Parts: sequence; C-alpha cells; structure tokens
Amino acid sequence: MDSSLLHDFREFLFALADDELILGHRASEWCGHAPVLEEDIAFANIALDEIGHAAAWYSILAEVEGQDPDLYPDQLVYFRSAEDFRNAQIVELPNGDWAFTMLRQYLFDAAEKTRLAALKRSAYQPVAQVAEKMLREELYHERHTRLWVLRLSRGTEESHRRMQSALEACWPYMAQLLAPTSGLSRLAGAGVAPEAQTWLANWQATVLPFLETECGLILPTEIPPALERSVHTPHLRVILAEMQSLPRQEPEAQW
Amino acid sequence: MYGTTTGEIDETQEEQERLLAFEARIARGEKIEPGDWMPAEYRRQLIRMISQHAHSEIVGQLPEGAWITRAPSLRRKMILLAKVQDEAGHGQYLYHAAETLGVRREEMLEALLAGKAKYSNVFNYPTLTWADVGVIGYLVDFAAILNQTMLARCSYGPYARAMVRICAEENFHKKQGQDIVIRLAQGTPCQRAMVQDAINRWWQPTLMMFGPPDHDSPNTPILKRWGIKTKTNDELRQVFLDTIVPELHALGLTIPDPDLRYDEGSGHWLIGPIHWDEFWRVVRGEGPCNKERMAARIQAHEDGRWVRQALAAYAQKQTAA
Amino acid sequence: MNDTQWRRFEVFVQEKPGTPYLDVGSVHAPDAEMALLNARDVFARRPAAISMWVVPTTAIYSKTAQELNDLYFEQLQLDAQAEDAEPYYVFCKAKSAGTQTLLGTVEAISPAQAMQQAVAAFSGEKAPFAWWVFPVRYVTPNDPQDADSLYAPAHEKSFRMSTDFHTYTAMRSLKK
Repeated sequence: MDSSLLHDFREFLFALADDELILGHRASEWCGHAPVLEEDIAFANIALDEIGHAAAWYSILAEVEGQDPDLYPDQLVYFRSAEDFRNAQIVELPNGDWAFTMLRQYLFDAAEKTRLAALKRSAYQPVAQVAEKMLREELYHERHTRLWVLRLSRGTEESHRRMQSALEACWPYMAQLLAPTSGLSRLAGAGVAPEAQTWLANWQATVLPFLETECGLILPTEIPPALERSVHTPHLRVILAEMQSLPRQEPEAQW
Repeated sequence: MYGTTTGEIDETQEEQERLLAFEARIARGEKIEPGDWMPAEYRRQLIRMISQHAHSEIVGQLPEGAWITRAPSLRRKMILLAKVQDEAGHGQYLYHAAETLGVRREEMLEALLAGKAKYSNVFNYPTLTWADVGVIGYLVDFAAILNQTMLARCSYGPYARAMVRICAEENFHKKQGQDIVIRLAQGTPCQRAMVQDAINRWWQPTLMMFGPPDHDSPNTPILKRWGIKTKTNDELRQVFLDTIVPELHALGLTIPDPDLRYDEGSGHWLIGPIHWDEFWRVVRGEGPCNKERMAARIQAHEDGRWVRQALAAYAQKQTAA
Repeated sequence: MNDTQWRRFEVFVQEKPGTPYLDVGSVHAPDAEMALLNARDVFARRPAAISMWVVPTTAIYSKTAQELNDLYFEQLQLDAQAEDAEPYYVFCKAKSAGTQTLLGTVEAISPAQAMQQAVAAFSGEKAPFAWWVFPVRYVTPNDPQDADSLYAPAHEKSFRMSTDFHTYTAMRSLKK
C-alpha cells in the first residue's frame, strides 16, 4: 500500500468496521426478544455475522498499522472514545419496532452487498479476500431482510403504516451512510476501493424500485445533506459505555 | 363391577394388551413414533416434559443474553451470541418434538405466558457479573448435558432425536463456559473474586436443576418404566458432583458447602443439605427474577403480534392471488 | 389469545453429495420461501448441509409399521375421484434410532395409493418402523446456486465448535 493513501485507507476501513460493529450491537439486542422464535435465531445470525465482519476489518487495520492482529481489534473496540468512531449515525439509533429494525438492516445490507461485490476486486489482496467471504453472508442477509421488508410493507394496514414510518425515520440518515469517506476517490484511483458514484448508483438501482414499486412505499423527498462521520448522536456514548464497561474496569485483564 | 358390560371388558382387555405390547416394544429398545399407539399418560408426561424443556431454553436466552452487549472481547461476544442463538434453536427443536404429539406451539406459548407452564428454576436467578456467563456454561450446561444425554436415549423417537442434536451443541456451551472460568480463575485478583462469587451463587441452583430427591419425585417410576428417563434425579446429581468437585478444586475454587466431603468407601463426593425450601419458593414464582423473565417474554410476544399477523396476512393474499 | 405462529414446514437436509435427504425437524414460517431461510438458520448453524428442502407438514402422509399392521390396505382411504397420477417422494425410518430417509419416488393418484406402492416397492427384509409419502410438487428446494451463500459460511465459524476450546488440556495441566 502506497503510504500516501494510508490515511484515506484508514478512514475507509474505520467506517466499514465501525458500522458493522455498532449495527451488530443493535441487532444483538434483539436476542431473546424477537417476534417469533425462528427470527430469534435468524436475527442472531445476522448480528453474529456483522460483528464478525467488524472483527475482520479491524484485523486488516491491524495489518495496515503493523499492530498485533490478535490484540488490536479489541483495543479498537474497547478503548476508543465516541469521537474516534467513524460509524454512520443510522446504526446508532435505538432498535425501535421490528419494522424500523428490518428496514434499517435491509438498507444497510443492500449497501453492504453492493460495496462488497466491488471490494471483491480490490487491488489490496487482504481486502479482496475478506470481501469475498463476507459477500456470501451479506447475500443471505440482504435476501432475508428483503423478504421481510416486502412482507411487512404488503401485509396488514398496520404493518404498512409502520414500514412507511420506518422509511421516513431512516431516510434522513442515508446520505451519511452512503457518502464517500474522505479521500475515497484516491483509493478508487488506486483500485483499492470502489468508485463511490458507481456503487451508489448500483445501490439506488436495486433499492429504490424495490421500495417504491414492490413494497408500495413512498420515498421521502427531502434528504438532508450528509454529516461528517465524526458527528454522532448521543446514543453512541450510551452504547459504548455499556459495551466497554468491563475491559475498562479491569484494563490489565485478559478475558 | 357387576354392571360391567361385555363391550367395556373387551375395551379394557384390548387396552391391556396394547399396553403390554407397548411396554414390550420399549423393553426391546424400540422408539415410539408419532402415530403409534401410546398410553394417554405417556403422551401427557411427554408433553409436560418436552414443553417445559422447550420453555426453559426460551427463557434461558435471557440471563446470558443480557451479557452479549457487555462481553469483554469480540471473540467472547461472538461465542456468547452463538450460544444464546443455539438456545433458541434448542427451544425450536423441542417445540417441534412436542408438536409431533399433537400439541400446537400457540398453545404451549400461551400456557407459558399465562404462568401455567413451568420452566427450569435456574433461569430465575440474575446474572450479576461476566463470571456468571462462565459459570452458567460450565456448571448449568454440564448439568443439562447429563440430563440430556440420558434423554437422547429415551423411548420417544422425536424427543430422542431432538436431544441428540442438542447434546452435540451443548458440549460447545459447556466448554466455552469452562474456558471462561479457567481464564478468570487464573486471572487478576478481581477476576478470581468474580468467579468465586459466581460459583457461590450458582452452586445451589445448579444442584437443584436435577429435580427433587428421588423420594420426593412422584413421576420418576413411571418415566423410568416407559423409558423416558433411565436414571433418577439423585443418580444424575451424583455424577455431576463426582466430576465437577475435583475440577473446581483443581482450579483453586471453593465450593460453598461446609459439609462437602469425599467418601472413600463409595468413591463419591457427598454434600450437605440442598435448599429445597428455596427451590419450592422459586417454583411458586417467588424467585429473584421470575417476574422479570416472564415480563420480558410477554413483551416480546405482544410486541411481535402485529408482525406475525402481517406475515400471515401477506401469505394469505399470495395464496388468494 | 388469537395468536398465530404460522404454518409448519418439515425440513429435509442433504448432508453430503450423493447421500439421501433426511428429515431433521420442522420450522414455522408464513410461506415456503421464508421457511427455507428459517430452515437454514435453525438447522445449519454449523456445517450440516449442502442442500435443503421444506415441505408443508400438512402435505406429509405418514404411517407407522404399527398403523399399517392395524389396517388392511383396503382401509387406507383411497381417494374416490381419481386424479392424474403424479410423483411422490417416499421416505422411511428403517432403524429404531434413525430418522426419515429418502428412498425414492412412486407414481400415484393419492397419498394412500402412494403409501401402498411405497410399501410394495421398498419393503426390504426388515420392515421399516415408519413411512412418509408426499407429492414431489410440495417440495421447495433451495436454489443450488444459493448453496454457497447458505451453507459455506458455517465452515468459517470455528468459534462455535466445541473443538475450538482446549479445556481438557488446560485442566490436565492444572492437575499436574
């Protein structure tokens, strides 16, 4: 890796990893509380995969920074402060109802799937290898959440109403999730990451017709501009306080 | 007696012959399958046991699930998520086994949420520290494995098959717990104190998991006769003690029982009294977390109602179209 | 309480290439497409399958050896109105501790007739303990193209295998 790209590459990897970690955390909160037993199992699977993806991206960060791949990921998860996290705000938001949870997961998975399909061809081999494995799981997540979003949108009046509200709640946060991280175009130029415009166009081409035509939802027209990924909601601090409590209480300990 | 009609005699005789044939099949080690003749009491006992067992897995997601978001490393987090996910899976296998006896999952869940069905008492205790996750895996799941290994050989085919599947996965549950306990027992003073405290709190509830002593366990004789259980509560409890006591000692942990001693003559570890008054209090719903556990399950069920209805409605529309 | 846990679908798994499909249990789902995904999450959390089928539980016609003994075949309700014959899958449980295993197919006009033919065609030296038959058209299989995304990831999750924990070694070294 060209050292002039290092800063941009780190920003990109932190965005990928932190999104997965925080969304995985939210998904894991459903464990034992899902609407039906089969979904307790299925959604735990999604949570597990997302956290696994986070771990894989953190390992690549360890490699890039010359750190110990066994220790560094946990350092990043448990000993960073909120202002150093680079996840998008949408993954921090509380789970809300099952409609919000499923729709957010679908929007995220669709973005993830499109991005991984491109990252599979990354010029940076470790990224290409990890992306290929993750893509298998993400194809499944996207399929699962897509089935759910369609069924909830076309189920009962109540479920349709809830899906429409969920869409309105998610939409203002999408710009930040989909915006290119700083210096992404330089990474794309080096063949390390996908061109932002291309994967955004791919995402739109799959997601928008699905939501509008297949699901019969009305897309909000107002889209606020994307915030920097260093700007968080208050929820992130609450998540981290919980997630990091034990290692911070006993920093020398091994678990 | 005098008024017995011939028809009834025939019926009783036929029932008797059926019962003898049924018991002969069990004695031969054959599995009973759905559709086969079985005594009404056999069916009743199985539904009772299997649904209780399923409920225990479902409620059992909660105490450990509470630590997923606080697990102290990414690896432990993934292991714990996988474990709690397995528990939901085990509940699923078990409800299936009960369904083959003609009872619907809707009914079983309704009984649980209405407080009419039991589940394992051990899940009515709180998980106060991370060490509890280790101790539950190590002690509680080991106790469960002993019971389940026995049930994997039981006479009802679908229950036995569910158990074979479950036992294979429970071994992971126990070992991940034991792995945490070993790590904590060899860790910092704070970690060692944490794990000793967890052993102190979970010791009695774990011993109670095997059920009341044999002289106070009215169902055991019929369950043994029909090949549902092959060992008594006290027998299984003894196997547990003889394995786990030396292991905890090797880890430098103590067991909260002043009467605990090794009996050279029998080669068994003997314990002081189990707190059966507490056991029955918790069974009656007065344990530290009974209300909290039920409230969590009821809320998930109620919050999920519109979701289940929406998907049923969608499926109906698709069929109609 | 007016609750619905949805319909039940029986789940059949092929563990390795060339081995017969086996019954592993059931899942609840509103439709076959979701049943297939649920089946994957319930029954293939660990490496366990290369392919799966789901079949509505109500479509399965089952008889144990004992039930067949108690009945004469004439008593099996052969459907009066003969429809076109169609293929049925035949499963049986041959071993006491076994599970329903795919044997092959028969052509029949009704489940009862399929059962009759199954027993005639597939009874070996030792009579099976129980039989299942159902029309082939009720099977929803996973698309073979999806198999990789459905079943390969389980191979990567070594942390959920008991073999990943070296507790025996750890305990042995303590006792020394």
